[in-house]
Amino acid sequence: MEIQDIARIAATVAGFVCFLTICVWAYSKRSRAGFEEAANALILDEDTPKVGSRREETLNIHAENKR
Amino acid sequence: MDNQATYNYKVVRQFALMTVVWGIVGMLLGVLIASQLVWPDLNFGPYFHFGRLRALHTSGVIFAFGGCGLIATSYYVVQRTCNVRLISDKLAAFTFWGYQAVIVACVITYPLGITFNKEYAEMEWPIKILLAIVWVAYAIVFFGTIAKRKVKHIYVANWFYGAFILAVTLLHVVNSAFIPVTMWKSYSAYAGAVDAMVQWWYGHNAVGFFLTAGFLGMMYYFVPKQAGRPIYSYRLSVVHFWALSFTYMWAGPHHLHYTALPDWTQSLGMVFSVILLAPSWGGMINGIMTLSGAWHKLRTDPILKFLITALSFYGMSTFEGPMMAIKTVNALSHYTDWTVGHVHSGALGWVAMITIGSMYYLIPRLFNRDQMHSVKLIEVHFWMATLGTVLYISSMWIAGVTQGLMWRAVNPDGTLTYAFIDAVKATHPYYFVRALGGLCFLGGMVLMLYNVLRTVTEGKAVDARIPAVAAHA
Ligand code: HEM
Ligand code: HEM
Repeated sequence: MEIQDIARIAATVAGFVCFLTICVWAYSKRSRAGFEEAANALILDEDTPKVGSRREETLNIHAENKR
Repeated sequence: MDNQATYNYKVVRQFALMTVVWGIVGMLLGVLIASQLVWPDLNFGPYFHFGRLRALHTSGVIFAFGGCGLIATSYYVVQRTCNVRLISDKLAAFTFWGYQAVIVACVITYPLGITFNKEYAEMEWPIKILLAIVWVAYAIVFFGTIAKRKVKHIYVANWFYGAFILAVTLLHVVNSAFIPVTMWKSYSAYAGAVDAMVQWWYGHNAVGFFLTAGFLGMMYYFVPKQAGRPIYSYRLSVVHFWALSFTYMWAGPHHLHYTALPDWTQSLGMVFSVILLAPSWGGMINGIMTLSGAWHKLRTDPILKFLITALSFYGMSTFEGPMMAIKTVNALSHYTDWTVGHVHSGALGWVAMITIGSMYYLIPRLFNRDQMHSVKLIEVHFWMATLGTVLYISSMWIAGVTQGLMWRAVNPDGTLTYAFIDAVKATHPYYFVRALGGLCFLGGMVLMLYNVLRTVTEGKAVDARIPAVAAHA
């Protein structure tokens, strides 16, 4: 076997081991809390504008119509 | 430094509006070239010829429409999830104007017949260089913003956007290696089978990191946001990310089955393509299952319909792809319209639908509204898009399999049963159905433009304030 072949095999095996490590890490108990926090933080970030909202304006229009 | 209190929505607004505009331009070109295949008389002169407009269509929809959508959403997502303004407004503005300049340069040069002759990379060398500069600026803005984030964890959507940006830099630089001859003519630095392999390493990873990873970034932000619930499994998303990144790079040779490429390379590409099914479906399941327990929302919310239907088409095309990558299947499908059907099941069903859904989420927020001008119109758009996609891909499947079978049919004495023109004739009606489907999809985009314009005029361009770093950070 040439050195090149050994290097290729080594790189492939290293890549695979790296991937397995990531899997184990991702599913480990230690990562759990942090991941949950990250997933929830997205939902907690309120990005819908409050002012000038369409619903509000439609409500206003309704109110005006009633008057 | 007053503006440090707000997010930079201006550049997001610019890219988001251009997404809709380029979407219409690119798909109009799609309908045009589809019509040229039905009625060849529509090929007027050299500038308006199918051969030149086809490249304009593919670049228009992928890089102009898809690219603007990806940059718009990545700038929005990176700011919102990192709790900071983009690192530089000036550089961000440069990426906008630079990117538009690249697109306009393509729109001018492609019909003139100026081309580098590599699929999805037809731009000549001066434009390639400009694009490289713009792209590096984009990378600096994106990663610079991540570097100054106020939140410790980097949300998974940013990982996908980051991989997309890095991979595209690498692909563009390596595949673009050129030897200039004149101002508007250059040749590839590679030759023969090596050139082909570099091209399809590029081509397939453009699918993998542009048309897939980038849009998965969109998916990981907008699906949870629109559904109002966190992603189904965050740990799955981590494994999904790495599995996809490790696998995609090796699948390119499936574009070169039965060519001068060494046989072992073809087999390698085939095996990795089949493996690719797993991470792809992992991602799809993660997205769709985010809705579990809230399926009823799908009935009333057309934006969610867009996003979830996009995931379903993603699942379909990533099932179909590995099948087509198997050499015996590819022997039938290659060079036929089956490939074109596969492409558009990914392009219309996945890429366009996830982008459209994300834009309907994004645009009102950029103009200080809580929703689009008309939700009804989104619903109509959804059905037009779905019908258009189904017409397009089913007609191309039938056309493709018909072509494949007719080409390989032989008489007992070994002669071919059909002349090439017989297969062309058999395909003709399906080309008409495809053009019809495309027109339907394009019609939906025009509705979107109207809806967006109404939303913009009713709204006001306001940069949202950055919330004080929340307790959870
Ligand atoms: C209105 C919608 C569309 C129509 C009518 C349309 C039509 C077409 C046609 C007629 C072709 C040429 C096929 C051939 O050479 O035989 C084509 C190619 C292509 N289109 Fe579209 N298209 C549409 C939307 C899109 C979108 C949204 C995307 C991507 C996001 C896209 C990506 C592509 C690609 C990548 C190819 C090249 C396929 C290959 O080389 O196999 N198209 N399209
Ligand atoms: C697991 C995922 C996938 C695999 C294994 C796969 C595999 C394939 C195969 C085997 C071909 C045909 C090559 C040929 O015969 O010439 C192909 C073509 C293509 N696929 Fe996919 N595919 C996948 C997903 C996708 C997705 C999600 C998209 C789009 C969003 C996409 C876009 C394309 C394009 C644009 C082409 C045409 C390239 C050309 O000839 O110009 N693919 N793919």
